[in-house]
Amino acid sequence: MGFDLHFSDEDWARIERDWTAWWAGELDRPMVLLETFNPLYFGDLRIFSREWMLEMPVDQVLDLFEERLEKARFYGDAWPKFFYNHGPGMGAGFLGATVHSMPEQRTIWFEAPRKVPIQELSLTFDPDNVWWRRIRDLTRGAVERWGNRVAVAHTDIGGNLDILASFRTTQQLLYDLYDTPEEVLRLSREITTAWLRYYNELHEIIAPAGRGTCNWAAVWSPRRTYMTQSDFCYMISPKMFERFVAPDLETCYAAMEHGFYHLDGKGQIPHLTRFLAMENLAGIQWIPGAGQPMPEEWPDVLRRIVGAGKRCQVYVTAEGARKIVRELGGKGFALYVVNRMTPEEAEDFLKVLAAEDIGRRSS
Amino acid sequence: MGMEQIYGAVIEGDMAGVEAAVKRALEDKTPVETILKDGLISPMDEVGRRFEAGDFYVPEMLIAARAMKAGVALLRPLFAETGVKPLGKVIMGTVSGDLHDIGKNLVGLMLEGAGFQVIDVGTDVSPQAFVEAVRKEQPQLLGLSALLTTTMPNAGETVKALKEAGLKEKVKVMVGGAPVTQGFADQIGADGFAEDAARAVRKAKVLLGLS
Repeated sequence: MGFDLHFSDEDWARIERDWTAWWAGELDRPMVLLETFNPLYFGDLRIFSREWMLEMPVDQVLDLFEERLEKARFYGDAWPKFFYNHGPGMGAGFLGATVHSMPEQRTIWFEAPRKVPIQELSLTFDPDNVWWRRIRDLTRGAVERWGNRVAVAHTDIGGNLDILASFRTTQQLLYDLYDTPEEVLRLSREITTAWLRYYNELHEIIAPAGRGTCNWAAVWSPRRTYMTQSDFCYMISPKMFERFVAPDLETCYAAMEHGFYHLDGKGQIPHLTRFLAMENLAGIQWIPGAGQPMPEEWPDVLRRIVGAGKRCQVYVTAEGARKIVRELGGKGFALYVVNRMTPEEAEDFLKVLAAEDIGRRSS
Repeated sequence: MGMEQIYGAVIEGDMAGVEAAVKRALEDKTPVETILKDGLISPMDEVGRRFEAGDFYVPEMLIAARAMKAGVALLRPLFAETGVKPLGKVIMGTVSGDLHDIGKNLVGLMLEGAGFQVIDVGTDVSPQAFVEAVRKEQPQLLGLSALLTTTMPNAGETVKALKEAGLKEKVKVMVGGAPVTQGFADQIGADGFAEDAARAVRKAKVLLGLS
């Protein structure tokens, strides 16, 4: 039986046309994503179970995704995506950390397989790592099954120092920044080298399908994109960020055309100036964090991002999206609207958004 | 010997400097309580102030607290004979289902830096385990940390378990963690909420009538 996906070749042509224009700064409206399917958590707690993550046959995993993709609808600038979600920062697993799954909390966590002095720690690419082979097999299986009908995403590799924290513990790594800074820099370089290999090898599998690249976030690129992160930098000064985080991020951005950064929480705002100065960084995703006001309540942050010529991706309600376009204009934004809508509601909403966009009204 | 050297070494996070200066102060027969309060605890107030002002970040707080603890370790054998007592006893833990520990650890270190005795019961602590710890240790304050929206409700379950065990009136409960707000604290019946480790120390003192 065929795969009954509600997304045609014409829809794909539109996605490629409009996202390409958005990246080039040629689109006078925001990208607006509405979908009836959450590619990160489609209601199945098993996705963080060991059985799912390692043991379930590839075809069975893909069957479950296919079933949900067939029921999904994609409106606005959304597209059908396969994102295999092992949880944040699986790069630590690829590099040999012990992986613990926590299905009820919809997450995983890592610990070092052995406690060794930092001087003895070495983190290098291992082609036989069980987690890496699994991700590679699933990525390959998805591309072989769906070809150019579904965009197959890069998995969540994780942030450089976040991965290192998995091996040292967060607290010890914070001490390491003062106690053994050269070792931290050495390990950061090792992680970045491995990180780029993971990214590029997955890209080699994904690219032949001809549906660009994407990841866990609401951003698609006809070229190479990735949502980088460094949750660890929430806790450190701009001076430490410059020394320990910025160089590796810039190395990653140099390897792709449309690098994006996951700015997670107000603790990272002190680093925003530095991010906006990174030439090869194309965009920033602003996530205020649990318990904080929604993204549209941070106009200064949003204004700084798009004002610096970067793209900006946020998760908002329909009202939040309207507030952004009314007050800031929609150009440069990718607005993932979390409300679930019928086709008619989505169509009406997009018209309302266009009519209220001060950027479009004044141009 | 003035306490400036110890004070400065704590601020700088210079553990070896603190240890050397504390040893010299003891050799000079400086009272233990003076070394503790003026040399080791007092700079931690300044560390907290600098953190709130955005001059210090978490690494600077950690190394200062580490240096302070190294100095306290040298004084601890002398506490009994000199009558030095902690400000109070605090139990710190991360709630059930949650393995994050950095926030809890930082608050614990800052509370120790302020002169409290801190008992860390770890992460993924069930409401019943908190109840047992409170029953056994009889702290004045219980600090609950939750870093995930999915685990936050377990802070409420812990407060409920304390009430059911007849212990809620005997201990103040303070909550914290990235998704935690004052509103949430009020909703679950906690006595206090603090945004960060520096504010947690101030809040603890207020809750226990120490400031």
